[in-house]
Amino acid sequence: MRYSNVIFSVLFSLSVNAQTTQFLLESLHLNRSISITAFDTAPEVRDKPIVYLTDGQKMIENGSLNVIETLTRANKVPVAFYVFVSTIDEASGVDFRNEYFFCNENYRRFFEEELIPHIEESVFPLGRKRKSKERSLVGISFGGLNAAYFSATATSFQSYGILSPVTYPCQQELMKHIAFSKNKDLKIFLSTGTNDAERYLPPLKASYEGKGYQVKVHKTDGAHDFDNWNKQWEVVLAYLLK
Amino acid sequence: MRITKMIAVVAFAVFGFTQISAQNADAKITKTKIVEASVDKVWAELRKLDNIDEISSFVGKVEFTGPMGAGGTRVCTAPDGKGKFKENILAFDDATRSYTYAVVEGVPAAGMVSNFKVVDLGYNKSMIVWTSTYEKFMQNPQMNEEQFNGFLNQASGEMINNIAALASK
Repeated sequence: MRYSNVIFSVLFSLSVNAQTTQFLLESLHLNRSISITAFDTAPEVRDKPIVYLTDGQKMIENGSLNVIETLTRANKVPVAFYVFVSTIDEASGVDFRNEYFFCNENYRRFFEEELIPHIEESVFPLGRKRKSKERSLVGISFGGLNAAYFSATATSFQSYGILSPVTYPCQQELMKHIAFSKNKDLKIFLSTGTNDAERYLPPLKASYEGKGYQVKVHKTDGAHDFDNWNKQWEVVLAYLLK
Repeated sequence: MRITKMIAVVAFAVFGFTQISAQNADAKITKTKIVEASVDKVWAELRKLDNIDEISSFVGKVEFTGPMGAGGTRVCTAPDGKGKFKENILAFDDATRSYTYAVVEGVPAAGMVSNFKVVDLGYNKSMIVWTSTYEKFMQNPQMNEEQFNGFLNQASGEMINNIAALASK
């Protein structure tokens, strides 16, 4: 793995304490540079959980980071280190989410073999190896499909926030991976709005419950949009980081 | 498991089904049976996910949990109560008259996935297709892989025959 290709790093403060770092990480598994925004809600707190979020750039552009910062400042969610992982290629502007999110083993390998080691050894080192229970992954829509796929195939995370998952692109493959997964003791948050992802939740919920995982289902009146998802951060993060 | 072994051996001896057994590139086992009944009638029988005990002599009891479709789980217990296997429904589609299930516990094979499908062959005629694949046979003292495949052939053949009989009534 080559981490020498971290192209730039910008450090600035959103508030008195919180810090945001942006950089590009060249992925050998994905064969392109991935834009990362790391957001530390409390740099003065050394030992805190890490939340990885896919669709990172879109989340930031649609206010998710600001909502999380506000909730953290108001002590409504625990302090944490957030890693917003963009699916948009910075050079071309092309969004590769439909490549990354459809049960893509290379994307899992990027996370587990490149991104997580880089973040936890270089960006936010703790001096010890973190455990899976200290990491969460959150995904929305097709990102929820990706999070569900990771829940079955990755071993780095114990908690998953799966918001408005749309699973049809690889539904059967996903269900097969969950059925045969050896992962234990996962904590799963599933949510859907109205006229949103209702049809995709029951198979996931049943499969997870069948494996004995801790599952929370959250239904809202919202739609398949950031207005709905941004209103869920308090309940999602309170559950995942509890 | 000794009983299962005997059954598997018997299955080899009487391996004279009316179904066609074949191997293909994607599936370890494929079995088909042409039925003199409409595709809808056959699918109406096949789509009952929780009645395996009525169509298989290897199953005495079925406990089904979860949705009657993808995400559902059925635990099938042998008639003598001593063995059981657990299956997860991976996909279920009334439009394509097909469902897929993973056998996650109780068989000496890893990654076993099977599929039932009914194909429309025109007026009052249809075909049941059952395929099964697995990634790896788990060596065990009770049965070898050949015997396991024989068992699968017999068990699936019996189920297909019984579904066909129910649909043809």
